[in-house]
Amino acid sequence: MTLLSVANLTTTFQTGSGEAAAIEDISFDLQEGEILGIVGESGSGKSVTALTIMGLLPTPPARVAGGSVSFLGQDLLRLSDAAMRRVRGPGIAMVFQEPMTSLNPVFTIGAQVMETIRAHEGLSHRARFARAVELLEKVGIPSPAARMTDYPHQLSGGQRQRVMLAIALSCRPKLLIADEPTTALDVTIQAQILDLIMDLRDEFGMAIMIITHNMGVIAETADRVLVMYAGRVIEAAPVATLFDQPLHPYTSGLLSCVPTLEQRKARLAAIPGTLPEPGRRPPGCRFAPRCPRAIPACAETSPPLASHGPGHTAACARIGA
Amino acid sequence: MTALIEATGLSKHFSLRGSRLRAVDGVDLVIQAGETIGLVGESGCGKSTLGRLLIRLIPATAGRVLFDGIDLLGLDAAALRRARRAMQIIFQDPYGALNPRMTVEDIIAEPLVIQGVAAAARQTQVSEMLGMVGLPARARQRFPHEFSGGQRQRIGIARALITRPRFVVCDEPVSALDVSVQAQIVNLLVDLRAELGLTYLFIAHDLAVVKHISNRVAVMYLGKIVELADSEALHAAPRHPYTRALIAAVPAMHPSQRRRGASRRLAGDMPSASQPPSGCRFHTRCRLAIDVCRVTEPAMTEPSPGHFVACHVEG
Repeated sequence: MTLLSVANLTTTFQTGSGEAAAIEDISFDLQEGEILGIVGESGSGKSVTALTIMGLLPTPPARVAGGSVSFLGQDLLRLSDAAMRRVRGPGIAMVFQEPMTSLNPVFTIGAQVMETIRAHEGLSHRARFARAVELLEKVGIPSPAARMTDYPHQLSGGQRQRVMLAIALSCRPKLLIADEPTTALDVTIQAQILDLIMDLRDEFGMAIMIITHNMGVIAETADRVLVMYAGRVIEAAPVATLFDQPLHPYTSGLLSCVPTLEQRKARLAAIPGTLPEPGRRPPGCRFAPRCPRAIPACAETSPPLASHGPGHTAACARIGA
Repeated sequence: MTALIEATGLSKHFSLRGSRLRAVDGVDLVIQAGETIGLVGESGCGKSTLGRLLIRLIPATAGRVLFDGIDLLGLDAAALRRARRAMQIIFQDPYGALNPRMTVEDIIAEPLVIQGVAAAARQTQVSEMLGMVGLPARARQRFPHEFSGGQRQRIGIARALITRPRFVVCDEPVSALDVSVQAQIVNLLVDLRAELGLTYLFIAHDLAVVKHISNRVAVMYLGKIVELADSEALHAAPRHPYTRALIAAVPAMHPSQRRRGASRRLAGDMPSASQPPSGCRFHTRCRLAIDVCRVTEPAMTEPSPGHFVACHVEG
């Protein structure tokens, strides 16, 4: 069953030189219990997509210029602030990249986990305390009862991300959005947190949207993948299809420019050039100036997402050419 | 091959609210002229501090560094400045490492100013350097904020190489860059190494990047080198349980190779360097730890030629 349906979503930002689109015409569905990976580099619009869904962008400067976000049949973009607050938590919860800045440094972690429980479920202080300890245990915090009185700075980065997950899970959300949840962590701790996210999905059955720039994180977790570049979805596919038959030159480039432990080559297959900044994006296909397969026509017309197989879409005029 | 860098018993201890933080604790390391040695480990293991110690960017608490036979730690300020020409560093953050008020030309030329090179010669060398790192000549009069992260890192590389150093510490040079730009910078560093005959210490937390660029790799844990071997050998047959855990934690590059579950998890976090565990510092997280590991610090052994490991069980 479809949990979330995003259609033609466009979000713009007011800048010194006028209004610039951060994301344009984003459409995708997310099924119950599914893990959707959104992969892209800086400026691709992956975080703006998540924050638009959550209604967390400051307006102004941000403005949703078009499209809809349908969550369990209701359009989140039309909800009042009060109604949206009831969706956040039990409906959609989010964890961020930097667990240090997401937690309040002057409150104990116990108080912060309990605050979310109180806001959404009420319960007595004693019941909230017990539930918070139970949640901390679930996310793998050792001696959770003793940690309730710790402040965020007393925990390591990995433990802080566990606390963020405990807070996010406290209302048993149907969808968890994880925005670069392991980017600030060491590879050893990243493996622990990814395992934990997968375990929690199995236990709670929630859907997950995992946002990352790391193809390895996608390979480890996602069922289906959206590849974003310069504010647009340029390819979407089931995870195995994306790794085996990437169609968009940007996706193939991303997959082959990363060195792996298995292969030996003298030179890496670099993608030339740099990412376009929002507001300075080229006309036509955004990737054309860096694309090895581009022809002059690519710089003129923006190719639409077209179907190239079961669940596989890509926006490139040169596929099969 | 001849040794360019020979560090013996190198240590750096910081005082921290009454306790001593042993960031680097008794490291021996020989770097051969022309080789690239990779240095990996979790954040806080002391890898950046070790890189800075080797070029005396920070003073050592104990130990010795020979640079091409010269005792670096014994040099006075003037002699150290002359020696610095031959050793440079490239930093991780291309945004923080460049003065935003200086033009690209002034940034790249500054090491030459310090070395007392005349203005006319500086101009020529900056032009040449810009070409070598792939920046257009018109970049000279621009400011850092006008450039993308990858281009800023090219500016940082130009500044490091303008004195024609022999040894360059690359401290996480691609970690802050977008994935599609990282490969450009790695390729540039490889090209410049060949062109200028450079010796690199390449510090990074990304094992695949380190393996790609390095001849040998050293693995650090809590201020000590626990394993050192030829890059291929280290990844094909890692001996130290910590090295194995690091390699196992690298995400798969294909969904069919997902490795989930406890077998690959390294439990817990790295302990504090101000209170390192007794015996082998890794014993608190090690699956193979036996009684001796809790008591006695393992010495470095050489179980196969050129492959060094400090472990009671696997050494």
